[in-house]
Amino acid sequence: MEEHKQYLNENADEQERLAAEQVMEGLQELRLQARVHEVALERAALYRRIFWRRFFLSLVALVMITGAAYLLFGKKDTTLDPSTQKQSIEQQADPSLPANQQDTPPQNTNGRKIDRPVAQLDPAERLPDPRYPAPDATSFRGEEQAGQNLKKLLNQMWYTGYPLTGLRVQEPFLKAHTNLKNRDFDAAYIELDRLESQYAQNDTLRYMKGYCLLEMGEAYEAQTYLSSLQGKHAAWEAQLQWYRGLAMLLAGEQDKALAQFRQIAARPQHPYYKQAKKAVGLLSR
Amino acid sequence: MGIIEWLAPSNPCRQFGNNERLFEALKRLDNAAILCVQTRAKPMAHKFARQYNLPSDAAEDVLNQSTLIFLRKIEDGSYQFQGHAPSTYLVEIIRRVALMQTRTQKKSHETIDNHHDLYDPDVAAAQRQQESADLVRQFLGQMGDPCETVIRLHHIDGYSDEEVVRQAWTRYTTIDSLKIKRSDCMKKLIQIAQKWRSTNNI
Repeated sequence: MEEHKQYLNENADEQERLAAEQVMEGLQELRLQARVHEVALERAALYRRIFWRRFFLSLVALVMITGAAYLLFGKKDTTLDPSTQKQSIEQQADPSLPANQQDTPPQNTNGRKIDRPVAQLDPAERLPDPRYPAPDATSFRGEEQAGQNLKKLLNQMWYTGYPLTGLRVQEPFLKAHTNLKNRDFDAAYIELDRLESQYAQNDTLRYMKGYCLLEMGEAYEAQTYLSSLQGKHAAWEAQLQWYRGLAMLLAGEQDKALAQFRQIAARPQHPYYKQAKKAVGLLSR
Repeated sequence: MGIIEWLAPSNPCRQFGNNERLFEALKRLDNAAILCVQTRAKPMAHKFARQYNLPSDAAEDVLNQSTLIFLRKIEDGSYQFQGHAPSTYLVEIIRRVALMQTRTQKKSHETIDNHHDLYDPDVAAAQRQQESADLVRQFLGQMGDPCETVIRLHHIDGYSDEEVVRQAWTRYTTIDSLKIKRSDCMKKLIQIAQKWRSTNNI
């Protein structure tokens, strides 16, 4: 700041000196005010920045805590209770469902921990055990030991289920349909046998009866009905192929059954691909 | 401003290491130094404002007014560095300014006779200086450019003559011509002030 005296005339009187002092005081005040005003603006900007930084950091902390909480507790929440797990396994075991609906994560059916990616699992590991056992041994003929072995083998691959894939059941087959759903195969057979006199060439009846005979352990008769439908209904074809293979195996025709299963196992898109892979694996031992 | 700088903790006092360096920066009217002492004193300004029942937005006014008094005291030498934190002295000024504002508020509701003890020399000086500043602002407006700009750049904004010439903020291309013009303008300003004082019998 320059001294005010340099702006005064040589013969400056008291009034001029006082006026100069007032001007310099005013200028000094304006200078300080300007500086304080500048700093006030800087301070406001600083507090805005502090506010937004705290807000941002709080947000980040919240996201991290939420993420950590999800990782810690979220996985526990997704664990199924035993009843739900059982239901899930049953749904998977139902081959009447398309294969893509069965492609759920592998179930630990043996109590062993599966720690490999799903793609690396053997088909047998991806599949739960069949929901129902194969028909009783009364259907088997021949040697007792061979019959027991076959029964054991069939139990591992008896992936059957009702309703049948692609089958639309209407009157007069609803009663038999209900019996099959309830797995009352004897009652279903009697009803279907009664209806057959009227609807002998009906494909729905023939499919229902072929399945009914298969579940009753009547392998040859089942094959007859199931084979008669071959190539007639595209929606039924995949399941028919699988059931015909089971019927062949049930009849003791292991080579024919293996060939049938190999055909299915050669097509990854086949709804019974995984079951067929398992069957081929078991039969090739 | 980069994201790292934005996220870094804001401490305007960091660059001043100790109180002596802070005081030296305050003597130079360094913005960062003023911001530093204000940041330290601000919580107390809010506390006094609450304590003396001032309006919620009065704390900022009190802080700015106190800072002006504080800087004046540094400039005229009435506040000398004695090893203490400068913000401590600012807080004391804040307390007195807040108290004065409270009394002023009460005064508006009561008679003046009951408050002859209101006089505070610092606040009275601040009022006188504010009046001088208002007058000078008025005179500068009367003079107009280039005198107003030439005086403002040097005496109010605090730019050096070298900077003013380099940035070409005026029509004067040399330091000497700028100084001569400013001297001429200051003499005119003093004459206007003298005329005003004689007109108002001061």
